[in-house]
Amino acid sequence: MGADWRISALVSRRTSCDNVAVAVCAVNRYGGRRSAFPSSRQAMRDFEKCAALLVCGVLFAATQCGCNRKPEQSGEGAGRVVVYCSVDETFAREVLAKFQLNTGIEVATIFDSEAGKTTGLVNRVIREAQSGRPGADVFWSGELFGTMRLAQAGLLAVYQPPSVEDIPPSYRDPKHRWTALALRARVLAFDPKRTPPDELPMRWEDVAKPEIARHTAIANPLFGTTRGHVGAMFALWGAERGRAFLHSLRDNGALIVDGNSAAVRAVIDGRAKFAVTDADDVWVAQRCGASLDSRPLDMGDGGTLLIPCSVGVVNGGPNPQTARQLVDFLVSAEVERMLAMSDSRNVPVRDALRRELQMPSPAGSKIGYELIAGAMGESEAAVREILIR
Amino acid sequence: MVLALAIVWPAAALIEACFSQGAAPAGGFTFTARQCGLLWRSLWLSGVATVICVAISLPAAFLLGRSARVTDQPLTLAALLATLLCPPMVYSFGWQRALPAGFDPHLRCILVWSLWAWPIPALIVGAGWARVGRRAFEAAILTTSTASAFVRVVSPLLLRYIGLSMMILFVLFFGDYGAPHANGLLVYATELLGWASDSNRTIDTLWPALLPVGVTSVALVCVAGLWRHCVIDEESVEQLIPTHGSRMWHGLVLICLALTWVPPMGALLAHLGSRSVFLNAVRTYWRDIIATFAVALAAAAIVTLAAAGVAAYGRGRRFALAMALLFGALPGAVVGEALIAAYNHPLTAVVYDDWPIVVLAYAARFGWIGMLASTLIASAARGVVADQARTDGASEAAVVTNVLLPSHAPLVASVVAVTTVLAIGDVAASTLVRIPAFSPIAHVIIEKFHRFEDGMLISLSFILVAVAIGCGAVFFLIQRHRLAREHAVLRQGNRISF
Repeated sequence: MGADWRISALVSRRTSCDNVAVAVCAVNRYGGRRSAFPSSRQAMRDFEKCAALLVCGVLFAATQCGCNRKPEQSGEGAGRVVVYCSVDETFAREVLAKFQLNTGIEVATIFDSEAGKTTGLVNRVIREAQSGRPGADVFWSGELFGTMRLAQAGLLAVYQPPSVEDIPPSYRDPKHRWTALALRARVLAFDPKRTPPDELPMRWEDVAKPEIARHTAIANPLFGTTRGHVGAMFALWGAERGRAFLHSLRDNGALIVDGNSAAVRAVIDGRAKFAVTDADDVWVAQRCGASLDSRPLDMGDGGTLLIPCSVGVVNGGPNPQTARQLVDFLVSAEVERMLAMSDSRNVPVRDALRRELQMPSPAGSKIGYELIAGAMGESEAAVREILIR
Repeated sequence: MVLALAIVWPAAALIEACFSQGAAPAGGFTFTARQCGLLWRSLWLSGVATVICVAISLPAAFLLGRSARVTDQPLTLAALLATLLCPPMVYSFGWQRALPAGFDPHLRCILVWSLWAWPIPALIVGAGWARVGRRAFEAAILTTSTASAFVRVVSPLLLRYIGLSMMILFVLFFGDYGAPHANGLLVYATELLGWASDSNRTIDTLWPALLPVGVTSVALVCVAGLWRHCVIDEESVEQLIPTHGSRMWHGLVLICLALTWVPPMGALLAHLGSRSVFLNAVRTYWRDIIATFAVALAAAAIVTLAAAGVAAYGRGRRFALAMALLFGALPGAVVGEALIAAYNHPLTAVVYDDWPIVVLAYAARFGWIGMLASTLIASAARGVVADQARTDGASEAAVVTNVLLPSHAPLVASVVAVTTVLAIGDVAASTLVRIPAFSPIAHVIIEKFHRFEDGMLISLSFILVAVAIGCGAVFFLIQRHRLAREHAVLRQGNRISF
């Protein structure tokens, strides 16, 4: 009698069966071996065992992964290094793969997301430091200002790689917490088929004029290189002119999008005529056959803003030794050459390399990066108040 | 335990973090004009897409409702499942290439959403049609015209099913990151992720998240009220005689399926280029692909396990459902914040540093699917067989384990499939809890989109398409095997007894 309901359970798999024959059939099939059904307690025990096994498996696997986190202490293999990276994934992956191949050190990377870009990674480093356990060994950024913010917060270790002697001092932290290299220029992208060159502005300040601004797409200036660009405007022009620029952009209907590539895409799609972006975004779009060109505009002191990539060792990271090895590699002329020859076409900061690769640097603004970083708090507040409100 | 790790503890940590960091957002307790503008854009985009989506789904709903059970049409169901399991982001990339360059991105986003999610209302409204609508309609047309029967008799009966579908669709669209982002649109969900990345203070994310949570809650309350208001005496499905859909309905469903798949996938295929691009994509990202699938499957497994556990033990089922629904209604950015608040600590480094945090993020975000399934399973507990089992001395847990779970195998399989695929396509929740071990494939695809790397983008997208179609195919085979077995049992029974 006790097993009758289990027979019914089998029958119930055909929910529409109102035919007694099905039950009869089931009884015929299973009547002679009722012991095949587990008791209810047994069933629960089985379920609990499965659950416990799964949880144990997850915990075991997690523990194993956790153990791998500190290879230096465990002495396994050539070691591991964790990189937080906002250099474009396609190019960075190639560089890091080469390091791994050369040294045998396993490189684990967290790349930036389109939503947060460098700012997201910087905040992650800060948050992990506040919790007392930095997760990154190396911070490799596609721009400089986030790295400077980390250095100012005391989150980057003092380390001077041996291969930086030929990097100009303006691209090195005087306190040896970061090194910058591989420049990208801020440019105004446009479609040459739709926009003749004589319609282009010559200075960045002109972008806010009504006839330009209403056709211009610009990334959210709280993130990425656009953040540094607006900071540079504030540093060079002063807060009043900087705020006036933002007011004009807003009042004249500039299109705010969520990234430099989205700005470029707006030009390709015909939603905008101009895009405020980085030179490498234009190169990659051109490579895909987009009708696009760019012009570096004048910041007001004879050139556009040139933004370098930057590298630093994170203070208190789990693998300090391998971190230094990786930083040595990332600031080397070899990596700068790789980035210059990639689709990113970063301009080397090393004079000799520029000459060797015949890559003239576009005329750059003369304003110092420290000054820009200093003005950034004010520019961000203004952006929040005026443009992104 | 899963609920505690993925939902309860992160929720508590989120609240604690808000207060410990100073419980006031940087901009004060106000919503900016930009936030209100984005909310409005999200609202109307989601609303329009929801209405269109329900309209598109009606032929399929009608077709599915003509069977005694929706699972009796495995091929149609598998096609709908595959459509749903393909991430909307992938459809977006396809439609971008299929439509002219200047096509309005708002319309494109609505198109993508509508042609992706229509299987959801098709299944729900179809179930309603099978349970209550068809019989009433057939009775009504004896005394009145077809149109009048549909409007006066059937519509009120189906209202609760349509309302439920609309709520699910609206919440899905409203919180979606992939499709608007891929179409170059800023909506509340995309911006919220930016705000979460921009600030280290939890309250700076939680405060603006209250707006979408409020909207979602209102939708939930409305549908709950509608559900209670439209109390209907559901007829037993067993009594319905399956009928076959006419060619017209089959044709309409085929047109919907063709419109969903052919233009976007055809456009992607046309832009794929050489086979070497695809091989290169697989060679470069095979570790990330495998890790993404493994983590998504692990999330689906623990969601299913939690659902089975909740259904089996019975205690705290309502609490579990409420918590899971709450986390389902939260934007992905807030779910990420909650997990960081819970696990960014030296004692929980083992979770934070590696894939367990990603698994927990997916489980927290999609746990509601499992909990809803457990509620459905539990609601079937008053069936004839379950009652018989109780009479025969089976415990509640044994009833669930031996009666209800096996008889709901397709539902359990669907929970696994849907959770897995939603996790694979998720961007919002996993952005904040990224780990060094691998890059989720959805993030890689977004990156390729931004770098104009069409070959890689399309290749990786096709891998997701293959997974979706594979899930649909497996579902079809399982269901067909099940139906064949049932028919065999019926035939054998008939031979023995009569």
